[in-house]
Amino acid sequence: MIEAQGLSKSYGNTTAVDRVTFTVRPGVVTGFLGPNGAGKSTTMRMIMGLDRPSAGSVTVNGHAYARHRSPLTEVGALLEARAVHPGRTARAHLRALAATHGIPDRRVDEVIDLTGLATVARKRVGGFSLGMGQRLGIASALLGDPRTLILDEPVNGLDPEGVLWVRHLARSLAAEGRTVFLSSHLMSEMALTADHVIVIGRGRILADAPVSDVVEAASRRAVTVRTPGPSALRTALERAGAAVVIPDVAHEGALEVTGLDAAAIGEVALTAGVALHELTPVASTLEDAYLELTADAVEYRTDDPAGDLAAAGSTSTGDQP
Amino acid sequence: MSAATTLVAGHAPARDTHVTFARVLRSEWLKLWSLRSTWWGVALTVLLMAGLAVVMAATLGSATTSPDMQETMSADPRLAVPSGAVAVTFGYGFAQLTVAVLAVLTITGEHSTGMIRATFAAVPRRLPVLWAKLAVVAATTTLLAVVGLAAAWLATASSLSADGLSLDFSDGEHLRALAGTVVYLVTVAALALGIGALLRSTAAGIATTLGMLMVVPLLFQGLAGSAAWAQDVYAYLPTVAGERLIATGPTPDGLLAPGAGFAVLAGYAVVVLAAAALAVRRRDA
Repeated sequence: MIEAQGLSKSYGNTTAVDRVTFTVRPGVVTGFLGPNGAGKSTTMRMIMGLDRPSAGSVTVNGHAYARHRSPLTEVGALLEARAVHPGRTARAHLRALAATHGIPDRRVDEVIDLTGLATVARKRVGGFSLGMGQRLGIASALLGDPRTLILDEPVNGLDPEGVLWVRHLARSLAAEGRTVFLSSHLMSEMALTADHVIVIGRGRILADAPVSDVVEAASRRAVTVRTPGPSALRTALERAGAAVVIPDVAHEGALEVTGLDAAAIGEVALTAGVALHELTPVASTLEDAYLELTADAVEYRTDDPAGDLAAAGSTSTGDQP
Repeated sequence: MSAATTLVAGHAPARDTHVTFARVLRSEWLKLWSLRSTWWGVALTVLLMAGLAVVMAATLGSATTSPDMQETMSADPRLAVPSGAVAVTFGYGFAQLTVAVLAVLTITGEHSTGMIRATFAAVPRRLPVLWAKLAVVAATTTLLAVVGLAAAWLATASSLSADGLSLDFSDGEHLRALAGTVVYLVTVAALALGIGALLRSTAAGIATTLGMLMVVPLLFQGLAGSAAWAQDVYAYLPTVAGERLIATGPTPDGLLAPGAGFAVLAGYAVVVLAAAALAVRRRDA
């Protein structure tokens, strides 16, 4: 269980994390989703007591992280940057961490086997690929057999087999009743791994809900319509209760309609006597939903029309000239 | 690999699994000796302490028959009274560089690689890590200095005795110089560790430490001839003051007595380590 209350972190005038409040519960995989620079890593470092919050507080299993007598059995963490000295072997690295808690060598060898590092355990970490580095990070997170796992971008650099393995690992750890909190900037990964998702952008929580709810909200069914008489059709559709957006002036006669399905739109068009050149249902994906949620929250964004579209789409009655 | 279920079935840590200072100490010991640079540094230092002692013993030996050289040497307070102690301890000047670099690296090596986050995640109270590093660095330096001195003594014993300059274990000053070498090196290492913990960067830590050990004393030595205040500053520089504990013979004008000199060096180390402790506790990792 991780509980954050008004947690904030600023560096000078920049606010990296802005009064976030959330709870990560045991028994489910909670995804922490946001674009790069949204404040995910900073939040995770504050949970681990590595960064001092500017305001607010965060506890793990009821206590501030630093108050635990046995931190590694409470929380295992994979931190974003590779937190390993390249001159040490994987096994020496794990033994040194294990030594702080009196964790025996046989547990070190066990997590080496578990993470598939047995063949490289006695090689120096400097020569490891990104994927092996991630596995070593996960091995150190598992050392203390912790009740809570915090994994920052765990699938980064992993091959497809490794990605599947992390997914399976996260799900089975949660199924054992542990708290699993993992961050990613990839919505698709979250959709497959997490039960619950907390979306963060520019340091603020944008959504905190079960993945299925986010999917639901995201699947705002839109229909793309092209017609030689857009204004007449628009008037007719709006009278019928639909929301109409003109997505792009470049596509003349195109309308994006929500609130009515394709069949109903066809009937409205028939009644209004307007010809249709295209009638295409567009099921928005999770990726779209995520982009929509975070569109305003991306710190450094190229100025592209997708942003405008997302901004318009966020209000169902959006209407652009 | 996919057998995540063995997590529970496996050797879950026992109930007495928790952080103690002794365990942090063991962790830091494992960390230090699992890096190749430590083995290289220690081996090189011991060899050079012996090698430099041999060179110094030969120089002192030839000086006993050369009035010219005696005159040159009497200008240097450290060599004014030639003895076995001067030859055997001579390598400290090099040894202080390697122990200082090793001490700086024990902490900056963690900051530069990100290892410090894994370390502080395991020991979130942090200060035990700093004190354990201090203890491990001090123990390693003591070991290295004792072995280095023993090697230097063995390597020079026959030539020194032939020149009538044998190390005299019944001479209090000789014993003080030997013990002083060990204590001096440990204190320099402690100071260097504190500098590393404050600066965090390997480049800045090593540059500052070596500057303090080598450059600053030369600078003030040069100025001391022309300005009295520079001589006063020179006498209180960490290494110039600390080295007095190793020096034999009468205290030269303008320098501190051995005990006072060492107290000054220890003072620097305590102040820098106290500042480092504050920084380690407060700063984001």
